[in-house]
Amino acid sequence: MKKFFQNKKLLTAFVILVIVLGLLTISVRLRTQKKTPSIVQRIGNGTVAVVARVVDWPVKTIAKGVDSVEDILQTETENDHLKQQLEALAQTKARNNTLEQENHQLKQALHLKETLTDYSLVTGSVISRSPDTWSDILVIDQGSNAGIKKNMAVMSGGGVIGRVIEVDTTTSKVELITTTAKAVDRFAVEADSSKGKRVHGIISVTGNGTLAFTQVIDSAKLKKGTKVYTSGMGGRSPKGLLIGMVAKTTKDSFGLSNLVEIKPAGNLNDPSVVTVIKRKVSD
Amino acid sequence: MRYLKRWTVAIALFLALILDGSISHFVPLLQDWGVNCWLTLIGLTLVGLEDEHNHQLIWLGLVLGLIADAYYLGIFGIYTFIFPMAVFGAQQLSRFLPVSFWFRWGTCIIIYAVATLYHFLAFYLVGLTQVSFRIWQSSLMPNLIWAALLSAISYPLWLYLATKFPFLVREETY
Repeated sequence: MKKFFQNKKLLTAFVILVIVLGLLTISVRLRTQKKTPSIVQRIGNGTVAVVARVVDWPVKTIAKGVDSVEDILQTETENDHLKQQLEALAQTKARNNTLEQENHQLKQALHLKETLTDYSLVTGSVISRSPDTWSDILVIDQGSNAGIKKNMAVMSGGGVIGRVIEVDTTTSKVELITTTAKAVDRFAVEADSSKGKRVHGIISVTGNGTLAFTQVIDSAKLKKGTKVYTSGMGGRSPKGLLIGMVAKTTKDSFGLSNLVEIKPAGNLNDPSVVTVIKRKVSD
Repeated sequence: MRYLKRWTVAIALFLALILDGSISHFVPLLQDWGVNCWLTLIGLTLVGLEDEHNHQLIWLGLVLGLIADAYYLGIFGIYTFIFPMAVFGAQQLSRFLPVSFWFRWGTCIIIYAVATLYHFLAFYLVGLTQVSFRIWQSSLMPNLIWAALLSAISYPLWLYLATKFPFLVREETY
């Protein structure tokens, strides 16, 4: 022990290790518990975001150019598909309008104020993505100025892609739904089984990064292709946001319970534009 | 202008830090392969190898690490540790290594691999990831290939900046 304390290099390395581990533990806890980061961090992040927007521009232009070529090649197939969708869209829109009015009238008749399905939207652009592979964090250009709050659900490409984990003044950090972090708020979800019964559970991530519908009591009745929506339970996100579709049902690693794998509906790979969902009913 | 020259390396490294986030966003293939896009790390390593007696570079690494941790992760202790340690490691190694592209290129790849391992272990220890060690192993090769590519491409730039514009060194002393 005496030798250890006399060896300056070893002692310094040990002190650095302790400081780094302490810093990591404290900052992870603070990020989870605090609603907003410190003022210094917010100013710093805001400044970096301004530079990021400038640097982003040429990179975005190049990436868009490559995407445009790909789009042109797929135009004909996409056009045929969209024409088919367009015919059904007019009818769906009209029906949606009628249902919305009916819903509004019924709520008024019942003296209901806002329900779990009521929410407003804030659209933002992704300006950066965490350069490392294990964190699954996006930085978007909307912050507390736009009314964004911690834990709001974020959608892209028609489905939920994650949740806001940190809100700065002009930017926010979004943690993707595929994160394997332990201390993360999971989405409470529901789906209709083949027998018409509503099945509840939560979304978690398996060891290989696949989304799974877990803590389900009667998962065997969930057929492939069944849509999974947020249930609005747990006081974080509104009801009825699409998470994905049931891909397959297998057994977990112990072979005891069913593991319902979910194919995400949201664009997790390349989300350029995202929509933050502001639930109207308070938590 | 002379004052700006002293900060050229720092500005270039800061831009590289921002570019890391942009590249990761616009090249989704990197995420699919589990590749970390750390041009800043390559830059710091190469500048450290070239400018081995400049201890200010370690402080620069620390500041860049703090910025990266705050902006990308919201937690401290990942890049705050990786960046200054990469500079320190590179400066220590440069005393024994011959001044040749191949040795420096190899050093970059080794430091990148060590940083990848530390990054995974730190995330695993604090519960920010639960993926198995086997998945990390499978992502190592793509990471090394990416590091080899990045360091080979950016080698002349970092070498030029470190030689022409040494960080916080007054030109009058030369």
